[in-house]
Amino acid sequence: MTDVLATPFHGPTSAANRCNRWKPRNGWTLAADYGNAHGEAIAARLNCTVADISWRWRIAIEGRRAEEFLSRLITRDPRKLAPGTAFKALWLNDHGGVRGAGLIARHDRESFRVISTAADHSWIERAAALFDVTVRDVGREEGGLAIVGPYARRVVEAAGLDPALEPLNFRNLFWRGLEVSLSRFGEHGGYELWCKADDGSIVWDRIAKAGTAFALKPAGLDAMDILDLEAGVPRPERDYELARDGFGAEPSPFDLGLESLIDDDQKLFNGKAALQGIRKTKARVGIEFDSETPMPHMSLLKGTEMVGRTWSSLYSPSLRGAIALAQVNRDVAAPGTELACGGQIARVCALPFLPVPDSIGE
Amino acid sequence: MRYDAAIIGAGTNGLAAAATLARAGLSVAVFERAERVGGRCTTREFHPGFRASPFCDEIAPVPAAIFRALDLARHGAIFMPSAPLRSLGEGDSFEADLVGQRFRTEIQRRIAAHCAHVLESAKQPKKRDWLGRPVASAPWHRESWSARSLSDVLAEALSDETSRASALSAALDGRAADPHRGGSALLLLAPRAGSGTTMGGLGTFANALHASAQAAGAAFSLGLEVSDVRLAKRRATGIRLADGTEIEARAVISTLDLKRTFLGLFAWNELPEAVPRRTSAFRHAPATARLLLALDGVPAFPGGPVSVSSSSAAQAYAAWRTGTVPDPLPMTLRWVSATDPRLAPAGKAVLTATLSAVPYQLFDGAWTNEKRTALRERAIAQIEAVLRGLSARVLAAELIVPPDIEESLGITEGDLDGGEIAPDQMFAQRGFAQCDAGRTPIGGLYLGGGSAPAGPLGSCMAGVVAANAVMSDLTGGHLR
Amino acid sequence: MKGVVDAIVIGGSIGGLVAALYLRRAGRSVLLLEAQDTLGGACRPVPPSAGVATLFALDPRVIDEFDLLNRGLTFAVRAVPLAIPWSNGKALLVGRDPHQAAHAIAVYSISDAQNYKRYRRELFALARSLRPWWWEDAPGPIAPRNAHALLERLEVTSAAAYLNGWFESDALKTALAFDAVAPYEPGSALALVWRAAQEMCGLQGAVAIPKGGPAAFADILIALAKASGVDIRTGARVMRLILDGDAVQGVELESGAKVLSRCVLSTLSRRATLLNLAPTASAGLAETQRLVGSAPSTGEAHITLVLDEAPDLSGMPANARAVIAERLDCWLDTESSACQGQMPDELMMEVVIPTAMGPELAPPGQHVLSVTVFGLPVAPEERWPLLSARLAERVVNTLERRMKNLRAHLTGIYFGLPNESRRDSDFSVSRILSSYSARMATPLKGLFLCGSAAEPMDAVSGRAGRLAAGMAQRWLASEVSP
Repeated sequence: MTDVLATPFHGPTSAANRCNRWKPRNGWTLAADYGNAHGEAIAARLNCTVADISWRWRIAIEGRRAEEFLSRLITRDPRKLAPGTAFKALWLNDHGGVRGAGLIARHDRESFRVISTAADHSWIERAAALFDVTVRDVGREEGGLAIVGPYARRVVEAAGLDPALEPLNFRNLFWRGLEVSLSRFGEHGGYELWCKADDGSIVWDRIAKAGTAFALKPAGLDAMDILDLEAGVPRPERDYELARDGFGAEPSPFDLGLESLIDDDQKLFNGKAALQGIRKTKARVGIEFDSETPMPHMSLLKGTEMVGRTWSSLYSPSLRGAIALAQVNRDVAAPGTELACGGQIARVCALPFLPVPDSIGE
Repeated sequence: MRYDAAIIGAGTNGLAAAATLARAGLSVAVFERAERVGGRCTTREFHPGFRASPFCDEIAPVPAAIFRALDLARHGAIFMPSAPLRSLGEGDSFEADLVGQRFRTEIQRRIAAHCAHVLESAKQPKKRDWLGRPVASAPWHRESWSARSLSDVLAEALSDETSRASALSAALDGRAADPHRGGSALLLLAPRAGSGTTMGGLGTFANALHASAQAAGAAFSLGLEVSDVRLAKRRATGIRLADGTEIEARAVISTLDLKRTFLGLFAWNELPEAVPRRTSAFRHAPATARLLLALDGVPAFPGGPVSVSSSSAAQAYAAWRTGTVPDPLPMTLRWVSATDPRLAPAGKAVLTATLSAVPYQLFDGAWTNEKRTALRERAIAQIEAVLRGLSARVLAAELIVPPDIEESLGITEGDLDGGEIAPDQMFAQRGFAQCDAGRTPIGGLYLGGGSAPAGPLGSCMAGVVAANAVMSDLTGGHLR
Repeated sequence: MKGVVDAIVIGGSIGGLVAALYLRRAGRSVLLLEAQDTLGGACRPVPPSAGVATLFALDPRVIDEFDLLNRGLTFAVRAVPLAIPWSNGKALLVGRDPHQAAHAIAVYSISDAQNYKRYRRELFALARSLRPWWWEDAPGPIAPRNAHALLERLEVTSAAAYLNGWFESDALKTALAFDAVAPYEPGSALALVWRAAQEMCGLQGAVAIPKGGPAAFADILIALAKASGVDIRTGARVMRLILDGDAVQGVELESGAKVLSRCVLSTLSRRATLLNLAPTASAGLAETQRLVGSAPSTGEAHITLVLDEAPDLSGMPANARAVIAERLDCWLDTESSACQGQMPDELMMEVVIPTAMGPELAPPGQHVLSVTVFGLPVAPEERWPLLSARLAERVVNTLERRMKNLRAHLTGIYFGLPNESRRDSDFSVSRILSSYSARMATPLKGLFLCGSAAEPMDAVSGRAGRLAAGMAQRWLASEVSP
């Protein structure tokens, strides 16, 4: 018998979720959609939506040697992180296989946060113990909302928050009696608002009220997944299996197309040595199908030869066709290459499928 | 220089035809008499700071295959789906929505079958019999709804009264028809809405089509009217512009309606006998008027389009036929700035009303300014009756009646359908009966607008079908 | 009465009599059951009721094969012209001769006159090429290839649109549209073609009046039927069919008597036969539901006015069928009001004065006007007895504007109200395009329809009777003898 973990926004989201469609993610229960996932995805691209992102795994890493530990763990140099900023990084196992991908945010000299879509708590905790650093899961203490879309900035402003924030920055605020944290971490050009778990309903109401003039709509998990796919961002566990034991070399960052998250200046991080020997054979590409049927986890063929595999695939209501993230051999990775998948034509295209729309009011 | 194709009209059909042909590597030139592209897909600032699409808020859905082929999403045309039409006072109901959804799927399936047929026949080479007369390549499959009445089909498909009323209002939005007459079910297969809206009004969609055509290499000439189509030995060889410039082209696609094409671009003595007869027998049923309201403040309005029509459709049709504006006026209201904040300043609103069964010509003469003012006041009063306090908030109101549509868009009698939707003017019988896919008895001339067989089936369909016919005739050697 | 017969015919209308005659000729024993006291159906309605005054769709093969011309069938008028009476007393006569008709039309519109000849040529040519299909039990139209395009177009074109394409003069279009019965329905252009495909007295598309009226024609058939041994019972109403599974075994009468037969032919409509006579849903659940929902909503009423003195014909053409209607698009209003159970605002009427064409068509001293009013609601909101009085009043008023002494000499009015039991549906193009087999056969084995409901359009014909008899004969021959 498992507990149904309700996010801090469960009250207001279940009032809005009149179709009563829920999905579990990372143990939490969230609205799958609020009646029309496609409409919500388009609204996120054209106007503004608010989504509950409390399901994202968040840990606080604190201690005197926290920076040293992180420097050893992740593929980028945490010394370059100023307080109030964040960057995306990977952490690898000993042989170069990707164990996790996420955002590292620095609160102050000895305090960091790691935010990721897939949890990896025990391994990091045991590793941290070697450095005398505490790792604390803050997921249950907080809730988070993502406000996404060209009007996100106007909504945040109308709600009484100062929207002046650089991308990958965050700020802790006192917002009419509530302690919140406003950040711009997401890939969709919006804002995230983190608050204490008890304040969930109030925060939701304030945002909803501020958003009425801008056609703000709530968006469920399905809509955000479509957005993620259209942005070309690979998600662990949805698109690829993380290297969960300490020693496997698959998947390598190069296979996942995430080599940009590796800082070559960084002298030492877990798995760096193994990376030297790994050959770069595959690439991450986007695939557009000529039909509306998604084709997840299927082989891509050129002629009769298998040249790659699709990861997750969804129907994109903006492009009005099925799209997929895929991993293909480097020699067929040029945009425009025509492959076949499940009898359908699959065309390679550049990522992201659609650019992040400009923010209105900047 | 000799173009492969000259396209008359840069509405959605003309733009789509240009983009299709240009992407296939052909040289294309598009000629539009207005200073802007898009035809009815445009956004107008009708009052400082307030914008709306004057002629329609939505268009017929663009078929997904055409949308993808022209890469419209990347050129900026992403359509926000809109809620289905409801009657005022009817709340949201997910169950009714499911039933309605199944019916809409059925409609889409039928339309898609017809679209597939017409695209297929466009790709078939042109056939002629031994006398040289055009012959249809394959019979259009019989549409069982051609003989049935709208009320019959709705009664069969939808079980409850409110869904039927909503579906009826949606089919008759901007039109006048008797829902009990046989053949009126075809109105369901010629939708006038359902595409959703692009943000910033429909002008965004037109710009995306334009960008797609230009990116592929199509040339555009705006602000000059085409005065004639040049004929040599009963074949179209090019066009002549109003300033006398002559343009040579192997094929000419006219996206104007049937009457405008043949009455405006030719001298009747140079046309084969079948053409004037068909043109004069072609009927139009213009019935749309539009009201654009700029409001100071936000109305208490449910989300989604709402139909306000307490008279029966048959009564409205009877009034329309006699040249009177029906009372009460059937109308559909849309609070467009609710879904698109770009259309109105913060805290203000834009409301559009589509008035149905408004005749092109009144029984006592043309639309004078007094009659327009009278209709405008009547419409606002009727809206006030359902939305209290509205008239006090109106900052500006613009009424557009069928003669205005005719003048702005160059479509005969302001008929946005491009020809009456009736069994003897649909599918194989629309345009020229024995010529499929927009071909005409004149070699080298193609119909690519609302009067073509594919016209009512979806946005951009007629243009793309004509483009495919041109390509197939070029490879088949029918066009020199 | 009990017993076993080879075939039972329900209804003594023309279709039933013809079917009985053919079956008798094929050597079968036939029992004909008529609910009323007299036979003849629409040709000889029981007073106080009125029926048809003219015939236009008789099957010439019935007349030939039973040698009716030598058995007393003569025609008083062989081609009744169509007339459009004007208010000044004159009338436009459109007769069978296209040149004379064009000449008459030319007085009002030259282009219409020229187009009339071409219109008639196109219509009659198409009618002739489609005749084999409408006269036989053929599976599909046997039209020559050059007619395919025209047929395809007319299948979806309304008679009004078709006529609008030919003529300008509204009066001419309105008059010609009467033949289509529902001129705004899609496909009703084919009704015009079907009318033109008929043949009376050797003349294509003619409208004729037998000597003694249609009643005399019915009498000849009745006499012939009796003489050939058809067992005729009047006053015998059939209450239900006796079925064994889905095969017909016989009928049960109102009196309780049962007659067994493996073959039953019904002159009633499909609806009346399958819904009223057959056990519930024996035709199939979906088919029964469809029949229940498909009641006709418009019908025509026959009104016979009897006068004791010759009417003043200065305002009406005498030897013609005059059509009186305001405008062509009155049909639109008429159809939509009939659908809602309302009487039409304008009356669309066809008037024939049989006694002006042949005094022997009525008893001496009596003068008769036959009026058919189209577009009436079959199931009006108010009941018919009340409405018929008002309808009569309106008809008399309309006619009196043209015949001054009408009301003064009126001695009797008879009504034939829209009869639901003989009609299946409003105009439907699929009915015209279907085959006789499809219209005559029913889901029940051994049950066939042979009345006017089995014709492409409602009309007194006998063609369905002849073909149904053939079908029944084949059915009986294929059965294993008990």
